[in-house]
Amino acid sequence: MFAFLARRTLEFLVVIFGVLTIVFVLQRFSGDPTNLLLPVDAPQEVRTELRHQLGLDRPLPEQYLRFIGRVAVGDLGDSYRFRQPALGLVLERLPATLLLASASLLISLVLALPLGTLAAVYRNTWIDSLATGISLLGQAMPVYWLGLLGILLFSVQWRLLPSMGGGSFAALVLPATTLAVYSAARIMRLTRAAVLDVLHQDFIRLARAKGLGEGKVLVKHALRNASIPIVTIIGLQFGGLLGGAVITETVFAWPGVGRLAVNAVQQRDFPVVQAVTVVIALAFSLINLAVDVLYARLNPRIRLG
Amino acid sequence: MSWILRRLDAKGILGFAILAVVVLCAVAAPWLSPLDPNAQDLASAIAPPAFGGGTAEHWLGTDRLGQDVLSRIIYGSRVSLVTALAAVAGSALVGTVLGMIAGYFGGFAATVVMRLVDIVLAVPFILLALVFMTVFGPSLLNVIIAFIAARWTQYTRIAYGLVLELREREFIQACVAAGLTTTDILLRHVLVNLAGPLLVVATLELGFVILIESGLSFLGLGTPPEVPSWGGMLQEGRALINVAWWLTTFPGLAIMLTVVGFNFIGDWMRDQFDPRTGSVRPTEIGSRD
Repeated sequence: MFAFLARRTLEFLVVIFGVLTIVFVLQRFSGDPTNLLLPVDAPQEVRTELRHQLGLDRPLPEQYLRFIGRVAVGDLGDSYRFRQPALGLVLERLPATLLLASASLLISLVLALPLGTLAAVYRNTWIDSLATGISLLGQAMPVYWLGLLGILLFSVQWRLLPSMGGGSFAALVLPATTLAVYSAARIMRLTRAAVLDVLHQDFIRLARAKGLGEGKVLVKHALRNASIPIVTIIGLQFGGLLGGAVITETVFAWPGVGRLAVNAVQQRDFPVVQAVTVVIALAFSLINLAVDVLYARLNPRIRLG
Repeated sequence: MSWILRRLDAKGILGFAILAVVVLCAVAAPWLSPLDPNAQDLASAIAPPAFGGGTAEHWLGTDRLGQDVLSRIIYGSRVSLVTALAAVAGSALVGTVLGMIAGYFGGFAATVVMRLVDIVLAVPFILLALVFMTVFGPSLLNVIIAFIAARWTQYTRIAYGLVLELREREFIQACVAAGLTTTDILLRHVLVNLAGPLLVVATLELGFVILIESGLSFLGLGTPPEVPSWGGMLQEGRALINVAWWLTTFPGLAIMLTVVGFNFIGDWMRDQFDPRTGSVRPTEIGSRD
């Protein structure tokens, strides 16, 4: 177990390092930040002085090392627009995004796991067709469009739910449900396939042959084994939810990192976009690390180390 | 061609039918659309669709500038299809080459390529696209480049795994023994065996690209406003959501139908290549995540 953890942690560090390197390279492409920081008519001396302050006059390898060193102590640069540390801006809004993504994951699990299992158990019946149909549409609908339709029906037409803002439970319902649909569709599809796969195995036949009730066969044997691929995809889906949150937050004016990032792109505020990217990549990689460990615990066939 | 026709099931037929309609719209837009998509008619701005109290002149209503919604949806198919084809062709090329190199040569090449895959996959695609747009500015070309820069990983993962297996098979060993050059082996003997699964991935990716591209246009990061695109139409519709439901409803339906079409074709192709339908493998082909 220790060797496995060590190897996965090393891989995790390589990935984070790689993300930082890509961000650094793109940052060099993003043009001279002094153009954005200074007025157009700023004298050349001021410009040179600022470039010196920012370390832009140093050789690239040195700039790279300094960048990594700054990131290591949590300094991801200052926002051009807000004139304050970008990391702080992101961390301020991170809880709202995590709340949205977690609520969505919860909703999609509550929908997808029972529906997917039912679809597999009652294969080729109307339940299966219904579940498969919902899953097909769910994967083909743009998240933000679903959000707009939700606003149209629940906020404009029936005036049941608020269409924007954060802070209250009612404000969470629409964005979380909207965001949940795509991952619910994916998880349902996979759950159905995984349960079907397991139901055809010999050990299920054996469990039935020794006289176990259908319910027990399903819960104790089938679902337990089907859970392995499902856990993996849930981890991946959480990353997708963090990404999908970017658009959903914009539709519903949800005060999270996604909206921060979109606004920053429009103002070409690179440090903020950079901070969002690094923080989300970090969160996503940590979740994947956790999923791998969980996966190894669930599946006794995986040799650790 | 007859081989395909004989094997079509309901999903396949529906998928190809939808695709045919979308392609027809894109190719024959000037003849199919009832009006000029950019013709402004402020006198009949925000007119409801014909069946919702409007006139037969604008079947699906008009937007803020009096532009015909139906015509703009027909023209909008062009942006979606062109982006999807360019992005998928580019990323499939890059991803397949890298995956084949990594799988066939192994060692250092494999380590570098597969670590790079991990790194790219650690950032959700939308964010990666946002970083790209910040650096290079929002435009359709940059959207396509962003897709290629991120989505090659989908093909590399599949190609890598398959080549790793193929490399040990006897017919490849025989090619090596017969003295074929590595390029010949890779292009003539390895690639043909990858084509099926990669085609499935590419088809599903077409749907994915259309879905996400519309999202980027919706955020104002894709096409300029004067070029009609489904995502851009939804962005405009959002501002008028309180008064004009048709502006948000119809472009979204167009996106959904198109994506359903590509997913149907992808599913159908997967069934053709993998007779064990419904089975689950750790790297489910066409996994979007």
